[in-house]
Amino acid sequence: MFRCSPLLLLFIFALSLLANHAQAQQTQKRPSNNRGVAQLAEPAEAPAPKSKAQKVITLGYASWVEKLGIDQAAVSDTAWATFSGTTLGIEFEEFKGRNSITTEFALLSGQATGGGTSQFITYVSPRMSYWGGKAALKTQYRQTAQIAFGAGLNVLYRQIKWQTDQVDMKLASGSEFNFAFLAEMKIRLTPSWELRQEIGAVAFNATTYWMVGAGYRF
Amino acid sequence: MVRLIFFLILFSTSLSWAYPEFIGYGYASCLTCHFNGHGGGALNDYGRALWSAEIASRGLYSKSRTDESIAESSNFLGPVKTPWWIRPAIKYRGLWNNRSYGSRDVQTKFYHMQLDANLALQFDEDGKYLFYFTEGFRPNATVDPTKSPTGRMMAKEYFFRLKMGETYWAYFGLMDKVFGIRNLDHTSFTRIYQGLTQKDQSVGAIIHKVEDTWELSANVFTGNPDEEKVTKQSGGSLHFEKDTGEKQRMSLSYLNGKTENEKMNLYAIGYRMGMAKGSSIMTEFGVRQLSPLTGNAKTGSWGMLKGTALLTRGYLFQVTTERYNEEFKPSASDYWRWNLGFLMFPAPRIEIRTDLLSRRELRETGGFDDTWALQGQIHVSL
Repeated sequence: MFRCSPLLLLFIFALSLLANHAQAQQTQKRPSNNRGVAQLAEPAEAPAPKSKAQKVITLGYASWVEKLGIDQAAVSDTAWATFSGTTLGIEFEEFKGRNSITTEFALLSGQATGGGTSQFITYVSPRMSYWGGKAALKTQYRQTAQIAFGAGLNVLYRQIKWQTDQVDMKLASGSEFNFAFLAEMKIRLTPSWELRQEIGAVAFNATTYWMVGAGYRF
Repeated sequence: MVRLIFFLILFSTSLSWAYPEFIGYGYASCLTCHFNGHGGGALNDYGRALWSAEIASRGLYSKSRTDESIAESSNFLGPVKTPWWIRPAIKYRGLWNNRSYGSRDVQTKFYHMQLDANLALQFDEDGKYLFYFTEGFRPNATVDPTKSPTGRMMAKEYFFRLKMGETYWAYFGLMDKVFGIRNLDHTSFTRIYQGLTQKDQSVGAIIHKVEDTWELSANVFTGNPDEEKVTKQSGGSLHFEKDTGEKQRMSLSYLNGKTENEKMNLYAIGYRMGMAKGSSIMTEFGVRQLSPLTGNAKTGSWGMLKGTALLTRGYLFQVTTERYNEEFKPSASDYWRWNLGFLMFPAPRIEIRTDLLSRRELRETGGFDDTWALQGQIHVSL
């Protein structure tokens, strides 16, 4: 479960430390513009962070790997299944200052190839169609006006039927519902267009999920 | 895991500022900082000063020390400047590699990748005439006693540079071929399938035209003297770059090469864009046509997207996604590569890189698990 997740979590942890450090430095450097007045006036309340809600539609290419279980008669074997295809999603961002809580809903569709590396049972099934969806709750930190880092929990659903002409063979990969912890980096090319790179670990009988895509913000 | 935590702690302590894809700092042309106007090799005086005063962290210096003072100590001998006609440099690179990370077959090894001695000799104070030479020592190389007396020594780069007027430069010698975005990572998919890796320098000539907003290069090459005759590639290339906005540059490249066994055509379009200071995005898409003398010709493609975020001065975070496809056929395999890494300049003359690499193959012959590698590099430049 969550293969490589300790590594990714530590990466994100290190990144957040660095980002916080950078933010702290910026805060320290920010010059005070009420010097002299502060002695006479009541300390002003910190201004409320600006709140901004936006939506982002992202079209991307996503891929992940699942473990494929192959059972035939009394023999059990395992192989891998590689999924790759298109993802189309919408994010609802609610930024307060540099931080946001974001929800995302996306459709997934593409093809998967499974088998080929099993030891005891020969099985390969190329280009099997799949479809599914993804819902995410994540937090984002806007490091600069153009760069944001995010991380969050994702629920994945996908539907695939592995085919075989052998009646006694049973095939199952990953899990129809799954969870993933994904981290992302977004770069805004313009106020409306951005590029997104996302990677993380999938929980049940699967390994790494990644996505690269372009988003339109409105 | 202990080592991993050590590495991550190392990265998350002290002052961290990000790594420059130099366009993020507003430097679009390699000529600004390198003796070779297409990048690579030793830095010129301006490049050394820039590294010290703008790019590297100043965490090891007191607050009272100015950037100008740090820059003045960036010479080969520190604050002592060598005579104007000679610019020596030494570079060491070590690689800690953890292959098959996360599997039972994990292998960890430290390699001394590179120890180079560079020398730039100017024949006039303006640098109109310049000779540049890099002799490399490869401590981990497999020695072939029939090839050279020492086996592990090799001339990696040498050229005579002539400045012709204000905007033209000519280079003659052993140099990297001019093509595409010169990605730092020599194992990148933008380099390994194109014959543009760290030992693919070629003897030839380059004409380089540099204007404020555009550059044009033409390169003819005849192969690397260290290569076997069969694999020695001769040919030519063209490379054009043009600013498309502030800190934005587009490039077009073409290369035609020929060996005894095959012909190769490469086409690439690239784009670099600087963001907030030091941060940037780079992307390249290319097509490769390979025509063996026997067998079928293959046309495939590659793509690269690299995002760089400057976290704090001297420390950068990078995410790179790459794809390579040998042939435009549904049955051909797709190779994907992800790289998450930190690029760090904790002090002038020191560069540390860490990379978590994942590689995935999409094939019709089956599903395959990813392969992983964790790497750390240290570069020391004198």
